[in-house]
Amino acid sequence: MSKTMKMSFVIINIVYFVFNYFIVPYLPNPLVFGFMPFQLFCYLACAPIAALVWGLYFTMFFRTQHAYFNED
Amino acid sequence: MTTYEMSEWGKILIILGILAYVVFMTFQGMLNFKKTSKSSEAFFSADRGINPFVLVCSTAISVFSGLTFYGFPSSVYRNGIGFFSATGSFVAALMFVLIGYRLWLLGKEYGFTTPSDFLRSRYYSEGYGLFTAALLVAFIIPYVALQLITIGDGIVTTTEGMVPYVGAVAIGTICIGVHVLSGGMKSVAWMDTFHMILGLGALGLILYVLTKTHFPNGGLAEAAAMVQANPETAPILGHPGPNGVFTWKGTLNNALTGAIATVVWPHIFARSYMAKSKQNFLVMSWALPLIYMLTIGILMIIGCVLAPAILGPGFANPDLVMPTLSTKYCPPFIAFISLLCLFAFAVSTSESLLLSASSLATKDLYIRQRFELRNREIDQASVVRTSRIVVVILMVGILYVVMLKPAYITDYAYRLSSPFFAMILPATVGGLFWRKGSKEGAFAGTIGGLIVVTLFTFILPAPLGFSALLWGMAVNIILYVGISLVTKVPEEISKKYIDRVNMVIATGRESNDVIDGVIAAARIR
Amino acid sequence: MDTDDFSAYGISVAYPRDWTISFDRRRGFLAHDGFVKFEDAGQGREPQASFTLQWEDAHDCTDFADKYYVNVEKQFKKVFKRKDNYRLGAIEIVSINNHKACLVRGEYLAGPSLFGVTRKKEHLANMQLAFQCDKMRRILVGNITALNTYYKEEGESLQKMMFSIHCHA
Repeated sequence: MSKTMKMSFVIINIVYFVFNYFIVPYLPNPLVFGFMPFQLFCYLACAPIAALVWGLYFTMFFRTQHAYFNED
Repeated sequence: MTTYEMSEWGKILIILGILAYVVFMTFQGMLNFKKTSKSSEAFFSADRGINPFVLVCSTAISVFSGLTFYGFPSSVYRNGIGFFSATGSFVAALMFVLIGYRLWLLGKEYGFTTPSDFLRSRYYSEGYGLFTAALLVAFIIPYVALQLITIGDGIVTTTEGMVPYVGAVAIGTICIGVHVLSGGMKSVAWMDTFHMILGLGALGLILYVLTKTHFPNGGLAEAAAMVQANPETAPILGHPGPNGVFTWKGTLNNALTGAIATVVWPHIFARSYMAKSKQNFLVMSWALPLIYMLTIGILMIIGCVLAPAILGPGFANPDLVMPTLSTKYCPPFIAFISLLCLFAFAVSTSESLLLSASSLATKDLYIRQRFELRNREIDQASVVRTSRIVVVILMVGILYVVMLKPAYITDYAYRLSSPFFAMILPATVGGLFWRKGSKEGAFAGTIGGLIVVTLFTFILPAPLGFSALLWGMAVNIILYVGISLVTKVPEEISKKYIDRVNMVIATGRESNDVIDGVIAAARIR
Repeated sequence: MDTDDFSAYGISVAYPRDWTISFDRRRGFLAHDGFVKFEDAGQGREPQASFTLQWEDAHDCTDFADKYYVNVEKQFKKVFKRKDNYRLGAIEIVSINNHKACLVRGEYLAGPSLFGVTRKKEHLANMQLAFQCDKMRRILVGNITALNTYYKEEGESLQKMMFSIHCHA
């Protein structure tokens, strides 16, 4: 995997966690879908985003891993 | 609001339902008794053969404890949606892959099954291994006690006292103890999968029934509008919450306590060794955030919308928000479902922690000291037998703690066990990625961190609004790095655990697999 | 290659002096169940070869060398799955310490490291020697794996090491 890809992954994660821990608490907070606070929506919506980003990255990462994996 | 009274028959049926569950668990455990009796790798690590789906479910439900099921809605009700930070925004999934995968590789290479196995070997110190094993066992006890307290409270509330607290705790103990004793990790992992599905299904049902029963026309929107309209409950829907807890500092404190160190909790650490293949880690990276989202999402809605809308502000005993909602404000059947959900969450965590404690106590404290270091032989069946005895001893100790002092749920667990488990995080991460991490650094960091956490938990208030855990972690890291920089790590250690992992090696591992297969075949014919 | 002698429970072997010795905790190190690994991993260079020696109680097993001869190819297929992941050379019955033995030579494709962030696998030369010692009632298997380039240079020394195994004093 290229160094650029690894660095990008690190930066994306820093942005992700900074957003979640330090920015969401100060976002405006109307109710979305009629019942869910927008801040809570942001928190929950990060799950599929994290799943996508981490899933894609580690799919590429594990393609480079061969120890104990004779099926490759 | 519609309320429900539990009839005597209803309570009896619930008790019968609980007993049926206990019988089911015992039976499921006994199915694996023979398979796990001959080898400690089968008993503690399920033969390193857990498939991805089971590992994700098992990891998730083991992280979600009775604290999650009762504690999340009550903490959200008390302090607002900022409590979501306890998930650390799903950081456990990322850390499980980053740290767990390397631990898995080393576990396969060097035969590790416990956290202390790795720490003792990496830091070339019997003392450090013994110290971490003792520390982890000591703090597993209050955490398991907490789960039993939660189960006890749940049964008492649901049956309205028909089952006394002592009896309720005894039921929980027998259930957990017998299941772990009989089937070890093989049973625990499969039961965890069942519990995850049960837990998620039960949560969904509770959410649906509460909404449909009390807000049949407007649903959740009607409930949320009620909460928002009341100036006492409206702050629950945002930051920093009714008591001003969740500023950015409170969020960070909570994330650190609840999530960042999850991967080094002993029962989660041990799961790194159990994976069947790299596929486990890949699936964990995307599936765990989604499971968290579903489970915690439902608990959050219950805590921030339904609880304040139904119970109003200032509910006298916030710890009992969930059992109260599911017993007084739901039909009796839902009370039973809620209890099953509690069992799912609390039993899974207790079993996993109990098994970890047994593994640490048996292998790192007893077998290592009495046999391995004295070059005395002990066969695998004896190791498993000893482990089972240790489970019994631990359960007796845990029961003693439970009978002695039932404690305020959320504070108890987080104040004692979680920060102390977290103190092995710097040594673990450093041990995997930094060749300069030395024994002296590990000792200094861990001990320094523990002292600081104890000081700011019990003696002095933690300064500047940061938690005792955060201060402990900071001191831990500074000491670990600082002392490691001025001490030396033996060359063969760096080679074995860092360089070797990265270097080209010709270990012949695959050919050893061939040889083992031929030997086995030769014996059959 | 300067050698030293390694000896335990009556089993001995001459191994290169600058190689490292390690044990596998999962396999134990007892008179009737043992495993030891020698590895060319000294002096700060990357390991290029390893030699493992394992032994077990023979129990009721007889004609171990013949059974090894019959089963080894099947096991290669089981472990490596795809045909282009391995290649078996000669499998022959030889003699060591007056015991019948099965000598296997082959090659397989394997991941170069535990945590290698590279797509490239390495071709590794492999030699196995399996025999049964009726006097001590044990079966023993020696296993050498080496980078192909290393094997080409040091093959003779590696074979000498393999045949230096003694199963009893």
